[in-house]
Amino acid sequence: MQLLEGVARRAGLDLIALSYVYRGDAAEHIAGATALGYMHDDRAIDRLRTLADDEDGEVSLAASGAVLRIDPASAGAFVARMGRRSDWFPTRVERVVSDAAATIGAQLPGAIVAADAEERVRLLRYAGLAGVNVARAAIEASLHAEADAETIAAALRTLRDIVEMSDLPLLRRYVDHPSSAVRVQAVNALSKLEKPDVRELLLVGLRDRNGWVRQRAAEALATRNEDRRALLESVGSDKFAYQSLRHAFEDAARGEG
Amino acid sequence: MSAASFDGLVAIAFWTSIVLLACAAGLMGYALVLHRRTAAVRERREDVLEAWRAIFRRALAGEDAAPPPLADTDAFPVLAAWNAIND
Repeated sequence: MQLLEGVARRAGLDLIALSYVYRGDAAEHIAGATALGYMHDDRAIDRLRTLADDEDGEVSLAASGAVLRIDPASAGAFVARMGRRSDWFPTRVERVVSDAAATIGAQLPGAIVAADAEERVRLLRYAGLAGVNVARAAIEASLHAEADAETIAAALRTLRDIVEMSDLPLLRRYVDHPSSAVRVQAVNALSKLEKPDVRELLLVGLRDRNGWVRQRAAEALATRNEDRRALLESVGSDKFAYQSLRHAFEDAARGEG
Repeated sequence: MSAASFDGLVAIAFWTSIVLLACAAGLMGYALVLHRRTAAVRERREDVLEAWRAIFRRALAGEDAAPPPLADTDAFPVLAAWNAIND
């Protein structure tokens, strides 16, 4: 990488990048900021900090990412902006978070506590990319007694990718939550667990009044190694649960075929 | 209308259409030359860019290379190519 950077500097790309961040249009700001970030060139750091608050989301993200590369100590400011900016393109943010997982991960749990509800949901989305420990700390910081349904759903969505059997008591609390968004995410997380203890909770989801919850629970049950006839009989006279399960079995069979 | 004035009108219409046809042919020729020139410029730029990409790829693989002079017109795509190889 040093050689690559050396070639770029000998070609004068650093000077071109510097001129772009000061004088260019949005596309040039983005290209210039990105290049300066990769070169760890701090000559325009103040200009990049200004561009980090640009009203154009793409410019703002490129400049913020560059500042983070040049000055890892600015991770706190990046995370705060990551919560605030609804116009940052999520897959590009994920890329930056993955590249700077350690520095961003150190800031995320604290930022989640300090954030408002909307920002917290956004930050939780990226917590999983900063490592399991960060994700767990972020989830713990979010699932407090006064947490709103959107936050709980976002925390459970993050939990889904790292869920373990020890999370079962936590998920048990949310399978009958008043919000269907929370119940869907609880069932989604449960679907990642293979153990027999989960079966009863998935059956609770299968009898849910919300169609999405029933569908997720049915899909989870259909992919488990269970006696299908016994499962269909176990739902009894609940025709919605029966239909959801039957459709899930048919879909699973189609997938297998 | 007399026969002489009718002949005059026919002559005017004839020469007008000749002039218009000549103008149209000229415009088409100009457009063709412009198109070829643009295509040649685009092709040259693509060659330049490919040469730079090769330099960056070699540098990434650990092989040093002397970069050629960078023209102003090539700067943006070359910088974008450098960013892309860092991604």
